[in-house]
Amino acid sequence: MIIAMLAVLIVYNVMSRNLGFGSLGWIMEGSEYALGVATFLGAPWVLYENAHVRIDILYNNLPSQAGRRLEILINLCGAAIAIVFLYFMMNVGVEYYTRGTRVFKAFVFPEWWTFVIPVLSFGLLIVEFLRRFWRLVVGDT
Amino acid sequence: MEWHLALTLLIGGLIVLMAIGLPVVFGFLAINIVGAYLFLGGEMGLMQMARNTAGAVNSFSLIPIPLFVLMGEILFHTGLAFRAISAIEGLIARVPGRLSIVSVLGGTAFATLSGSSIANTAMMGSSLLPDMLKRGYHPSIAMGPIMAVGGIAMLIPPSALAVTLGSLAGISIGGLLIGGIIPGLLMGLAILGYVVIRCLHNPALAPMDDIALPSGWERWRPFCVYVLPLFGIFVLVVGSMLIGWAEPTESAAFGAVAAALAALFYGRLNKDSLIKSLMETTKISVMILFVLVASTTFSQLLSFSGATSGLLSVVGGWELTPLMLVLCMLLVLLILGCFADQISMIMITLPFFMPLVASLGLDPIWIGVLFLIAMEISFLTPPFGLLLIVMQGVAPPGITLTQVYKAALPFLLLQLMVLMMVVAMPWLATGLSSLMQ
Repeated sequence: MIIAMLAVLIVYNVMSRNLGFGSLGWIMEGSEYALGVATFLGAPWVLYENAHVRIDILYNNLPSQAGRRLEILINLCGAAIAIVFLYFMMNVGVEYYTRGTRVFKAFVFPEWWTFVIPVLSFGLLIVEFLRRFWRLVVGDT
Repeated sequence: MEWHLALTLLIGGLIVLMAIGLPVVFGFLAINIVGAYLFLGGEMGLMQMARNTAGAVNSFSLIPIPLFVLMGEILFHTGLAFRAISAIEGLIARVPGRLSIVSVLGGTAFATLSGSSIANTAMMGSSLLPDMLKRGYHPSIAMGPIMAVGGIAMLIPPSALAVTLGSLAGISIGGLLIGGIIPGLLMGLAILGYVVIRCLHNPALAPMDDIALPSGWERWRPFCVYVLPLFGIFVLVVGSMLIGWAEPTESAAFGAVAAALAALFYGRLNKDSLIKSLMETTKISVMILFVLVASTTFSQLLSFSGATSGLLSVVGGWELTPLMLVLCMLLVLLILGCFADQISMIMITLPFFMPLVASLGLDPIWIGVLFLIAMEISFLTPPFGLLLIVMQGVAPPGITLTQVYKAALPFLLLQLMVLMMVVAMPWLATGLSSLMQ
């Protein structure tokens, strides 16, 4: 799905350049949102693939038992961070929703929409961090 | 809170979190949470952080990142890049260190088509290195040039890191991309020169091979079929920016489509290679872009906590000349580069560097290109230089990391030399981009 998103984003861009060749405002803005959507949706997948940049020198130099404990801690930290973001993103989203603010650019739409994908992203990140945490804990016993 | 305490908390905390192995982006996000609570006004600050985060990458100027990465990945996964390199190999004969020279020329050629140093090194390392070692090349003359030339990919457009830097620093992205060309080529020449001199001096490093190459048209045909058209893509991407015909985002879109069309035209584009290219592109782009999600709040924190102005007033008190200041900035980058990844380097230093650059009236493109070269060097500095690790990953078993470090060392010095040349002669970086309309 994420790949499809990015593919759509790119085709979208290219179409706009090659067909119109003009800077149609809504295409520029649309591709900006698409980039945000792709990034937020991609982040949990990249975590799943273990591809987020990290410095693993400490982990590689610890004995395996301590290394596993460190990993457990890291995944818990990750989940906690994602929970805080989820909480405040939802708060802001709900605030926009109740106030009924709208974005007035090329597209006009309720502002809380812009928080749906980031909230989903952090939600999935929590799930993935907890899944890794759980696998490590179960592996421990 | 005093500014130096704030600075220690923000930067020191970040370093600790990174060192224990938390993915870099979550290190930044964690610091953002703590910092937003302390410096941006408690819960209100955290709400502000959430707003920043949701909108941080919705930026038109960042769109070339996935497009540039895609361009290189398509050429890599469809095998077109391999064809181009073997076409170049067919042209080089009867010179000392033949395959090392091929790796420099091929690597530079691929750098003009790929925005990723990692892809470049992985490809050259997996395609040429086994052959070189089999023919008795010394590991240092076999691996060194491949790693060194890998870094050039981020200097010569297309370059995903140049786009990131330009976008966050508010430097003209087109200017920065164009500005990297001459230093990049200079780097390629320096590496080439070094390889030739070393091999002439000590032929045992790279045993001469006497393979018979076809002559005449048969020899040039692959070059004309595979290299020249691909070079056309580079001309399209850079040319359209240079004459002011397209914005960087637009020329990146052209480049990605042209690469896909080229692959289609050569009959190499199929579902598998396309999916593989898209997957890798997503992975690399999200790796970069998701870190940027944390960037807005992080630089706000440095500024609201007084850390930026505090540190800048101390530096201002030293009354350094602009040249000394530039050298200091580069030193900071080089030291940071030994430990941090490139995006973190950008995010930590820019909030301090850009006000300095503005107050001194330095040319931002010159500084940007120096920044890029310093980041390129950081790819090769032990212990964490990314290309060193990539190289060891693709090298045949038996090559130790120490051997990889040793192989990179002379090339590290060459890159420092080019860095100093650009410091001394800013026109190397700014000359070409001043031609832009």
